[in-house]
Amino acid sequence: MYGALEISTSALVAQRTRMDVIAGNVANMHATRGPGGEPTPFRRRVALLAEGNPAAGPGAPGVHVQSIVRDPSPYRKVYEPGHPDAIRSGPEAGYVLYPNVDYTTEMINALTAARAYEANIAVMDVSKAMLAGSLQVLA
Amino acid sequence: MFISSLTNRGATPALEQMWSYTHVRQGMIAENVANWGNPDYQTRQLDARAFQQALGEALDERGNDPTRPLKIRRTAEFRTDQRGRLEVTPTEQPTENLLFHDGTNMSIERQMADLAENGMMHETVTTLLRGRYASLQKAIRGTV
Repeated sequence: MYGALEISTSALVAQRTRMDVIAGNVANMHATRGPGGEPTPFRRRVALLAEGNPAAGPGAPGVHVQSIVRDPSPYRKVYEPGHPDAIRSGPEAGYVLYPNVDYTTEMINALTAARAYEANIAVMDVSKAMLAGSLQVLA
Repeated sequence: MFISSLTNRGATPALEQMWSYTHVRQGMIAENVANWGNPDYQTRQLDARAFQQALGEALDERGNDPTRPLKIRRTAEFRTDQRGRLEVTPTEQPTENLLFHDGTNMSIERQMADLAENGMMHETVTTLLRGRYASLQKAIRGTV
């Protein structure tokens, strides 16, 4: 039964990490510059979840965040000639490159992460009730 | 010998097997729900109906002899080891008619229903086991 709690905990950690990544994406959706002020827009991050729980040992069941990767899709282009980061010359002059973050996609991902978190909490509640029942038999 | 004949008598061994089954199934359901939305994850199952059938057959085989251990015949998912403990191997759930675009076949609704069913099954077994052990304790103490 401790196994079931451990599995659900791994999922809570993974979903929370996924939510952190989504929060980071939404927070940076208008960041046209990098952390050092360089003119490189923020690139959307994606949390890759994989089966298994290496934190609990090799081959342990559960889920974990394997890596957080950058989404290579193109940046959004918005025509804002007065913006300090607008492209100065060439056919795309006047356009500003914004992060490749789509608000709707992030919101849907946030909802699914929240639902997955809740589903795992529901499993934990049942596991805890089962553990309490088993202890009453043993006592 | 006397004690083992007491604990092996009647429905107690079957209840203990059910108890073990609900425990391992809970871990499997937790694993399925944990991997919700994980690409290419295939749902695992420990078929409750198949287990009940296997347990029923084991009870029939044992008959009324309380000294005989309850042995579940080996199937793809269930078997008992030499000491009579339940061993399970979850199998992949066959895809019904829906495979999601990310290659998974998990229905969260089905998992939640299985979760509720498993919890109730465990509670029933626990209540019955508690009653049986309480009766045994009363008999040992000689009090009502």
